[in-house]
Amino acid sequence: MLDIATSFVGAFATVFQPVNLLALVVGLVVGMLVAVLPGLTLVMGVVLALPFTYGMSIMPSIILLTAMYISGTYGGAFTAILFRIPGEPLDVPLLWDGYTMAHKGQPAKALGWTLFAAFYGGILSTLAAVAMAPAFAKFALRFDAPEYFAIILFGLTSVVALSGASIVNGFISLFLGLLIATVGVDGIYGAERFTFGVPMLADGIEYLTVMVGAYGVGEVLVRLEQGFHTPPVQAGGNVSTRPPGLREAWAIRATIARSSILGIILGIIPGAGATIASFVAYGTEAQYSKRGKLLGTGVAEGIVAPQTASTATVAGHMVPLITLGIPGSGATAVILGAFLLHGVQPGPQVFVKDPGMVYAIFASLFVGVIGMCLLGFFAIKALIKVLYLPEAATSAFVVMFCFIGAFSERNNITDLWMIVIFGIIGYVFERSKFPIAPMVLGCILGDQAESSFMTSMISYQNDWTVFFTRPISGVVMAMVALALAFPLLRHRRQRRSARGVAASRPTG
Amino acid sequence: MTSARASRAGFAARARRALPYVVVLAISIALFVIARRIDFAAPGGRIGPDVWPKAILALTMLTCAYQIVKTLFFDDEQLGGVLETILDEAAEPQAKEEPPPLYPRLIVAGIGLTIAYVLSIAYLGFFLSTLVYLAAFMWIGGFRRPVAVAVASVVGSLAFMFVFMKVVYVSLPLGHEPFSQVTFLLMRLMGIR
Repeated sequence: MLDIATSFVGAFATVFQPVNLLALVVGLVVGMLVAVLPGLTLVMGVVLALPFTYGMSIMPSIILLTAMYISGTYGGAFTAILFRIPGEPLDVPLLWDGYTMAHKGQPAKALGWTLFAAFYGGILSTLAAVAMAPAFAKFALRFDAPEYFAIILFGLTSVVALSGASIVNGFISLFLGLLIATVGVDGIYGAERFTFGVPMLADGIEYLTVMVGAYGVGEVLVRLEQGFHTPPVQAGGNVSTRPPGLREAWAIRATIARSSILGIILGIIPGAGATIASFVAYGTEAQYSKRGKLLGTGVAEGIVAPQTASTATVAGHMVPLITLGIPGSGATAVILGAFLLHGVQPGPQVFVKDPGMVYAIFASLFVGVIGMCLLGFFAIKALIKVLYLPEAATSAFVVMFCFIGAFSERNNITDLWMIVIFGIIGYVFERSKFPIAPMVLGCILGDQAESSFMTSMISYQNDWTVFFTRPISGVVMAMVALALAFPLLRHRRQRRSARGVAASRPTG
Repeated sequence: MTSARASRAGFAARARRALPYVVVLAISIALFVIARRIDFAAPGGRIGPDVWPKAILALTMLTCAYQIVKTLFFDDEQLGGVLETILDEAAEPQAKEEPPPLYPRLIVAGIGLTIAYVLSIAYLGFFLSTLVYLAAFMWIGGFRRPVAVAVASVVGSLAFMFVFMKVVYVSLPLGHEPFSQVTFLLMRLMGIR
């Protein structure tokens, strides 16, 4: 444990190098701006920043993206509390108590509770992630191809099974992503697959164009169809943040503990992101807090629980991403994309080869949490001014960033067509309630899933039972089965209880 | 008579809801046929590069078939993810907002404009096509202040050109004659080589 602490403390020197520090500050500011603007989502922001990292080295690239990610979980709180405009879906629970508290004449106090929650959620989860990650990596070093395949399968199926409004649609989206990853010349036999004689397709479809098209252009098209509107914002004349006193903070220590743990756990589980954590933490607080019945009336617990949990998911998400190479959310999928673009495959080997980089990423999260709180405290008045920008203008520029981002990688206009195609697919997906995240994850992890499957088959003479008979992969495959069975069982139980309620109702 | 008509109407509605899955199923079958023709030479006994895509396509077909049968003949209630249902339950006591109104003409215009942009960029060059695109997109999107739209489009296009060509060294499309002359002039003014 001491060597972990020493490595972690030592990694701060890397974070404070001028380039890395600059990337951190830029990431925090841009992440907060993206979170404040209702037309831009956190994932979209991270996707749009990805092309800017081409020319950077790996460390500032990852620091930039993770800083955007973490401050994105906090920035939207301002608009939710002050103007009843949730910048991100994860900020919706803040409307119930945060906005209510502000509406009762205590906006500074409501913002203070958010800052307090984001700080503790971020710091506690980062420390927990630092403590857990080496153990995860050490365990993962025992993995062979079948274990990798099982882990990837678990990551992909749990993303579908845990979240998403429709599991069937989630699976179709995932299969599409996996299929996109097969386009081009395969790595083992050199056979052309689904290229249809188009030379450009022989190189495969870049996951970057899938991500940028589906998340960026697709989202803009959805908003365009709803008619862009710039929300009416009252002048934020006396906006300030008043952090809670020690006694007030001590009184809700149980809320902080519960929500941090929930956030970390839900962060580690692929598929359960910041939004889910925010809602689940609010629901848990309503059930278990001493003042649970008062939630919705503008109490501190209703602000602290969702904010702590959503910020805590970021460090939680980084654990499986860095130690196993499994992203659990859209934003971490983009960060994985950044790793791969720089030729680094996250996984247990990274801990062996470059532990300094891993600890520096965690240290940057730690510094990022402090930075984002300082930014929120001092720069909030300036930041919320972006709300005055017309959404039609910001969206036009977002599309342009998408195009240039995709074009910069290969300087090929065909990539622009890919952006348009995946933009339309993203729009159709959104409109038809097909989730985009499984497609993107399938696209990024498809290659790895296929190569670990093929390697297993070649190494074990086409014996597919190897995935079930080896101890670790067998356990993981059982977890896959559980992840698939759980929503089904839960659905059946709900229907049975609904039928019971209907039957017990008096007729006539 | 009325109940037969209602039942027919109900089935037609279910068929409409099943249509996306029928389309995906048809595409998957077509791709599966194509996957069977993948050309490779695998050394004795090894599985080939067609197995993985065929397995994915088979799973897609199974999933679609399940949803089609379920929608047409049983109930078409979607099975949601575990945490999503928890999320719904948490949000239930709160007032749910009405879905926003939709403007299909805007989406047609937006997609048309975006396709036109990609078609024109090689001919007009990056600056001119981006200038027109930004202005038209803002206008379609409802931002109707001509001076602000013009300034934002010109400044935005110039800024994109400067940052990506001068700073990031991306070779943005120059365009064909006579439009390329505009690009060359701007490049000279910005000191881009």
